Amino acid sequence: MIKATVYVTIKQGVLDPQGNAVQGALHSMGFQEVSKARVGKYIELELGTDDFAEAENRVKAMCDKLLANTVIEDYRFELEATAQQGGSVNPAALKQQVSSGSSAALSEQVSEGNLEEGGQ
Amino acid sequence: MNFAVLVFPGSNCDIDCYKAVEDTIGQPVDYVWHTATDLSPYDCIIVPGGFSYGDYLRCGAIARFAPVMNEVVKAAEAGKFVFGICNGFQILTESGLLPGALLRNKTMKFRCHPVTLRVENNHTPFTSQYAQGETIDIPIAHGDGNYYCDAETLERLKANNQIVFRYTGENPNGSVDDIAGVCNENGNVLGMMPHPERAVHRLLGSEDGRRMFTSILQTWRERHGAAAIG
Repeated sequence: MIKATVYVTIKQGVLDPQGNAVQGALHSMGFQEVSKARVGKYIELELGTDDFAEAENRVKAMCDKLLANTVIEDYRFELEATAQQGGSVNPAALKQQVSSGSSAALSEQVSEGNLEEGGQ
Repeated sequence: MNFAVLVFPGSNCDIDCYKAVEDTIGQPVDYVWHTATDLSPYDCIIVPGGFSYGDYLRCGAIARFAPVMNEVVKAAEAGKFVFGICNGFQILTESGLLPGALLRNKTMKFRCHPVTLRVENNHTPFTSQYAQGETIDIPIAHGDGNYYCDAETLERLKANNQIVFRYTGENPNGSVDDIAGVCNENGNVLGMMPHPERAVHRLLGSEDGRRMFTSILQTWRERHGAAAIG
């Protein structure tokens, strides 16, 4: 089994009224250091497959077709092997991240800040 | 001329649209459930407002995959008139029949009040009975009516005269270039956030929406009358 974690956010450069409202609220509470807030969606999918390449293709199709509207939103997702009964998995070896900007799988060391918000 | 008013779970302007067709032009009109797989009897398909599928995920995102939408795409390709209002507009953008997308209102508020629109293109089947540049009074009722498209698409919309309505005065939702309604390149698919079906009688506060329905009928008759004579 593979668990996919999908993050959908409003594209950079597209107005995010919710993010702006959250930022305004944080400022009014005294958190002046917040220079930007973006609100997005978090979606968990459990996939009945152990094939990472297949999972990546399928989740990408799900994002492009339904989970994100690529006119206004970017997405990225992580694939992670869920623990098998009786077996042990090495999570570092079985985790990958994919962003909508480029379809290339990124290594598990890639931090969020390195993920480019790509154009569609 | 036969009209279909699509009904999704959560549609709530379907009855208004049905009654508007009856009241303004008296043409045959049917409710068509979202599971329908044949729209061949219909000349104009109205995608009404509401909250299809509870607006889950994004407005219109799930309705766009309802079985009837395949038929709407076919009807649009065949040149039939497809008219999306409010949530119907959102569904048509999600389905790719119209460019752009509808974002949350800039103010984060659900706005429900009359607005003044300027008719920017009266050469569509939906607006032929308005004067170019005429201002009309039509109500809005939406929380996600902030039309967005990228700069390149906006230039294309302008070049092809696809911007059909703009808000005049205050822009109620922050839409790009004050856009309230756009059509496809062929002009047979129109989407707009304001509700002309709610403005078909003075008792409703405005009857400026009537001419959208009379325009549709007149255009259809002109095209089909000419075809029959030819």
